[in-house]
Amino acid sequence: MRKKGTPVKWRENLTALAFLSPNLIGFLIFTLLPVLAGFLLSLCHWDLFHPPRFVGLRNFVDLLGWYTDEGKVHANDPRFWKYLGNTFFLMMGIPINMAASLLLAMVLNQKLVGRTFFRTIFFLPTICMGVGVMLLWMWILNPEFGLLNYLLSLVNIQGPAWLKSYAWAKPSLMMMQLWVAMGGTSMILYLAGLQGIPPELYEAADVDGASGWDRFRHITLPLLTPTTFFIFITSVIGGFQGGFDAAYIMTRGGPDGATTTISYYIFSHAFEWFNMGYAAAIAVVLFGLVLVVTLINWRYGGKRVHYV
Amino acid sequence: MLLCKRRTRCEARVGGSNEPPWMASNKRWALALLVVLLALLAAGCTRQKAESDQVTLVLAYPADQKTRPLYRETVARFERKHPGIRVRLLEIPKDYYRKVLVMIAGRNAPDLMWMGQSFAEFATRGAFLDITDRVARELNLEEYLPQAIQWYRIEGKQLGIPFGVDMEFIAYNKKLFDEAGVDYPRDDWTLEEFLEKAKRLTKDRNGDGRIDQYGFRGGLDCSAFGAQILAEDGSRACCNTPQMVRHLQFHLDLAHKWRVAPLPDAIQQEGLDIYAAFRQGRAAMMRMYTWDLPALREQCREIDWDIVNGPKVVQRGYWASSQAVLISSETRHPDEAWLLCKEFFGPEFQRSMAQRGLPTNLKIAREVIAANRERPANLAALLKASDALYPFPRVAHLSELLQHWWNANESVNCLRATPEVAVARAERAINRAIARGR
Repeated sequence: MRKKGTPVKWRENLTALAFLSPNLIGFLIFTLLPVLAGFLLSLCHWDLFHPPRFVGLRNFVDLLGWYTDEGKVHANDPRFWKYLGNTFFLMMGIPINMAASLLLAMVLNQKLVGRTFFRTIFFLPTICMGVGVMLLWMWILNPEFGLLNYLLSLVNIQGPAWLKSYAWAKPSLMMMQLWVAMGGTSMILYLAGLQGIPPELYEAADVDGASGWDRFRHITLPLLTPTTFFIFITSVIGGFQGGFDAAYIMTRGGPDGATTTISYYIFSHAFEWFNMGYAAAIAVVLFGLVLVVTLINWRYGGKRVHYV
Repeated sequence: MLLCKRRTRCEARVGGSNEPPWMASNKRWALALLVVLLALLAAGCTRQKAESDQVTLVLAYPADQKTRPLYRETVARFERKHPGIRVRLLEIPKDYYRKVLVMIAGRNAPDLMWMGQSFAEFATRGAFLDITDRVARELNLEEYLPQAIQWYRIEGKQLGIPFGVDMEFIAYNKKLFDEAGVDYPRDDWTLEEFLEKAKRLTKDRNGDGRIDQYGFRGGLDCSAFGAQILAEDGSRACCNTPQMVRHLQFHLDLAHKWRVAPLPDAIQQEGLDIYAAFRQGRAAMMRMYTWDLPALREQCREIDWDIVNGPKVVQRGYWASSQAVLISSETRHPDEAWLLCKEFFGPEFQRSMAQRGLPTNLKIAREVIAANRERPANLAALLKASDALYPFPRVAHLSELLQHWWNANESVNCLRATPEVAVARAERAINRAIARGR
């Protein structure tokens, strides 16, 4: 019987550590330490040219505080709240993307001719280079000579300015995200989930005279809740952090900040306006927000998950 | 028998456990791997020692297809003149300022770096070496464009000597002018003449109710309207004026009232072909910048085009910026860096860069204009405009303050706010940012 702390135990632990070390060292240097540094930087003023200067909670006050002027209350940083709103707006595409992925997965789960071919085709946008996809969509959405407005003009509809329109810029990005996401990882996960549902349940439902909608509502949907839950959690986390690449490449956050998300705002403060401390404070607030939303999802969403 | 011996050896090694032999061997490999990884990590964090008998300077600049050979040629010429100094070019094709910023933050700043419009944001944070004494000793500043020299003076310190001035101009398609029977614009034209030409050059060629050829594409600088966004010292916003309202309203009217221009480009769609409209004859006049000249010569060689300065509104006023190679305040070789820096505002480099900007050395600028045999024929327009250039003020938080302005501008272009509301909003936001120290 080995005792605790014997040389054998230490050697075994060291071996395990050695095998884990490449990943651990990478995680430590490139993830954990930067995150901790971010928390510390949020309490400093740092313009990247001089050493960080401790300012306490000033960044958070400037970010989340308010002032009154002529009896009216104004946010210290109204842009933060506007861009947070933009982020939430773009996240409204998440349920739409999930529904589209599920629909596509259900269609591609059927025994169709060319099923593998179509699965590949629908997955292609996910593996295409992001920048290339965005440049392609910039051409499609160009109000003067883009493909979409041309197609609309064939049915006598004058298309909007899309990315150049304040009202249509965000829906344009959501449209692009739907095109990329509907056949992507979510579809693959749903396909796997669908194939994990025992066929006997459908057979039993058929015997009981259930319609297609009944089968979907009472068998497919409940048994896909683990997959749905996972996709929803990861999509929400990704949604809070996302929107940067589209804003940077396609719109530069415009027009008038319509497509600026929190992640782009953090980037602007850190690398364009020399406010690294303030950017870190925004990142900390974003972290808190993501944590709270994820905890709420776990608390209330987890209860609705059904396992086979 | 062999198996028993192996087991015994194994048991003896690991204190009597039934651990298979392969595990002991794997432990050695794992420990060896850990040691190698740690060694690699340590090696990756060390700096290379410079050779003791040679100075190496690092020069960072935004490289593209046109400028790359010019910089390399200049560096080769310098190294021939100074055999004890090597120059390593750091060619950054994209996101130049961010790359240099991160290098400075990592205490790994290049010895010399190119600067354009963001010069002040770096300079006010102490990024550059004060070369006032060196300039006073070795240069005759009267040979240079005085306003360009002034742009690189911060708090009385001369931080650089620019080699080129970037400015805006209007490129026009002579063939479209000839077809419409419109006289070519002159450098002293007025706003009324500009508008009249734009209207006559705007056409629906196929009668489908959609304009196929716009008279003008782009905008005119607010300085021509007597307006400015920020005070010269950056202490307050100056955009809430009737002149600025007129400037914004004029651009709205170009698209919506007179319909001589497409809807304002609220967003710069980078990556798309910005010369397509001009090349394809969909814009008779187009606002461009001096850095567009090489691309215009290459991509628009089939059309006959020329350039002209923007029209006078209440005054002549054109946006401008400049380019310089400056010495880092962190350099360990200031004397050698100064020798290299002089090469980049010297006559050879200024001549080579004249294809994409106005040389700041007035003698060279006149020589280049006199010797010009390719398009644009009216290259002299750039020198004529040099007394009416309005760059952005040199303030520490220029990019962030201007972002408030661009947002307001875009809100007007998207018809979300009237010019009056937008300029008032911009003024409040800019002043608040200045008061908060950002």
